[in-house]
Parts: sequence; C-alpha cells; structure tokens
Amino acid sequence: MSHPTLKHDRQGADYGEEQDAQNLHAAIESEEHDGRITIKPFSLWVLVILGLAFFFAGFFSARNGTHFSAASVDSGNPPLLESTLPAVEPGAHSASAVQAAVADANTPAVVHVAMKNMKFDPAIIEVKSGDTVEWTNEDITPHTATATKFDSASIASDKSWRHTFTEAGDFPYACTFHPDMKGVVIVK
Amino acid sequence: MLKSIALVVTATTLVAFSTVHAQTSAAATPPNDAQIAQIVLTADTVDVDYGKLAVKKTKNAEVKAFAETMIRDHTAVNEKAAALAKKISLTPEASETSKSLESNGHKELATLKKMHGAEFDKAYIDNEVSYHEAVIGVLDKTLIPNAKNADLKALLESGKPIFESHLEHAKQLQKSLNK
Repeated sequence: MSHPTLKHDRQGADYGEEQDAQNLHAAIESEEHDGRITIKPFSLWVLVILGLAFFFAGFFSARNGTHFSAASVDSGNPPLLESTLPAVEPGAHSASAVQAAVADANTPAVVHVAMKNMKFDPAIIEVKSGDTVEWTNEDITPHTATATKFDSASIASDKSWRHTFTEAGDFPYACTFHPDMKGVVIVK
Repeated sequence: MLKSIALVVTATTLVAFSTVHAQTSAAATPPNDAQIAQIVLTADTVDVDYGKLAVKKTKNAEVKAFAETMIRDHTAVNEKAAALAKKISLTPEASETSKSLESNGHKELATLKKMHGAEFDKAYIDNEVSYHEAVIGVLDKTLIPNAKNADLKALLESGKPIFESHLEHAKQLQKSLNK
C-alpha cells in the first residue's frame, strides 16, 4: 500500500526537477532575446508615459470625484447631513468632522449593540437624546434588554429590537434570562 | 520443560497486556462527529427535563426563572444542533458517553421527583452546578478538540459561553439558597 504512494511522490519530484530545468533554460533564452532587441531606452519612455498617464488619471478622477459629490449636493436630497454622517467617525478632529458633529446634535442616530457570547457589546454606550439604540442578538439563545423604562421582551437569535431615548439620564439594563448580562445606556 | 513454562508465562503476560491495552484504547477512542452531535443533543435534553420538573415543583420565583432559562436555552441549542446535523447530513449516533449521560439523567430525575420545597430547590440547583461543570469539562476536553466539521466545532464553541453563563447563574442561586 505504501509503495505506490512512494512511487508517485518520486514521480512528482522527478517531474519538478525536469520543469525547473526547463524554466531555467527558458530564462536564459529570454535574457539573450532581450539583449538583442535593446529594449532599455524604450522601456524608459514607457515608464514616463505610464507615469504621466497615471498622474492625469489620478488628477481627473480626483477632480471628477469632488465635482460628482458637489453635483449630488446640488441635486440635493433634503436629509443631506444624514448621508454624510455615517462616513464621519465620532471623535475625529478634521474640519468636516466638527461640522458634522455640530449638525449631529440635531440628527438622530442609530447606535448598535450586539448581544454576543452572553454579553452586551459594547456594554456601556453614550447617546444623545433622540437617538435610537438597536440591539441585535448574535447568540443562539434568546435574550432581552430590560430596564425599568424599557423592555424588549424576548429577542430571538438573529433578530433585533430598537428603542429611542428621549430623556437624558443613565439607564442600566440587563437580560432578564441571564442576570449576569448587564449594560448601561447613557443619554446626554 | 523450564523453557516451555517460561514461554507460556511470557505468552500469557503478553495476551493480558494487549487486552488491557485494547480496553483502555477502546474507552479513550475519541468520538466522531455523529457521536458528538448525539452527546450534545442528549446533554441538552437531560437539562431540559430537569428544568421542566423544576418549573412544576418549585415555589421559589428565582429558581423557577432559572429553570425556564434552562428550558429556553437548551431547547434553542438543540434546535440549532438538529438543524446543523441536517444541513451537513450527519445522523447523530449513540455512544457510551451519550448512553451514560442519559441513564444518569434518568436516575437523578427520579431522585429529584421524590423531593419537595426547599429541599428540592437546593438539590436541583446543586445538580445544575455539577452538571454544567461536567458538561463544560466534556466540551473542552473531548467534544471541541475532536469535532472534525468546522460548523459543528463552531456550534460547540458558541455553546461554551452559554453553559458558563448557566453555571454562574446556578452558583449565584446556590449561594442565595444556602443563606
């Protein structure tokens, strides 16, 4: 039983060696070939042209890019800020982020909390009044998000539940099925 | 004559050793995926049965809530395991482990049935603590390392935090019942 495998392996090795030898031969041949055509000055030109082509391509795509987004702003969906919001990371310090953050104060957001491996993730979240928190159950077992002011009831595996917070304060909550599973929503 | 006695002794010793070896290796044979699936299904079903009895018998609201969680969660795991077995065309197969889980479960259930009130609550929760400890041990040492199918392995791994959460919950109840 072991002999045929052995033989097969050996065949493979022989074939590989043969192929290597062929590749080596081909490489030598192509080197000679290149030498004869004297491709070097030509390749320099190719590089320059390609470089310029890339430069202009980049330049125009950047211009078009801004132009394009400006056009979409002009054609304008009314909830303009909402469409730019998700791209802005909270806590970023660029001018546009500051602008978005100012607008953010009036734009309700949806903040996601996963129920995963018998924990709320993240366990502590800070939101603004008017924001909605969405809990998604990524576990096999059902969970709840339950506080004195809100109660999701049972959320099955792969299902979500949302609650909009309209009053400021700290809202500690837990899963009624798994008392060790705790979280807090801090509404500013 | 002496030579032949020595030969017989050697032969007997060899046979004895090989028998012992065969037995230990049979006991330590790792379960295949079909057997792992059955061990999971049986372990879950046993705990669902304990839970159903507890819901009927207990007067303690916390114990009742815990028992309901056991029924809810172990039923969910079982449904997931059964769906996975179907998906990967795995027919769960009984093994020594699944059989002993089942017979021990029946014995414990019979013991619990005879108890009442606080005595029942304490015995039920004590059993839940040791049962979950045992299941987590089997999961870690036998089931997860031997699972071949990636989906089955993933299911077992996602089962672990569930059982650990149950164990913690049971331990907290154990403390409050012993006060």
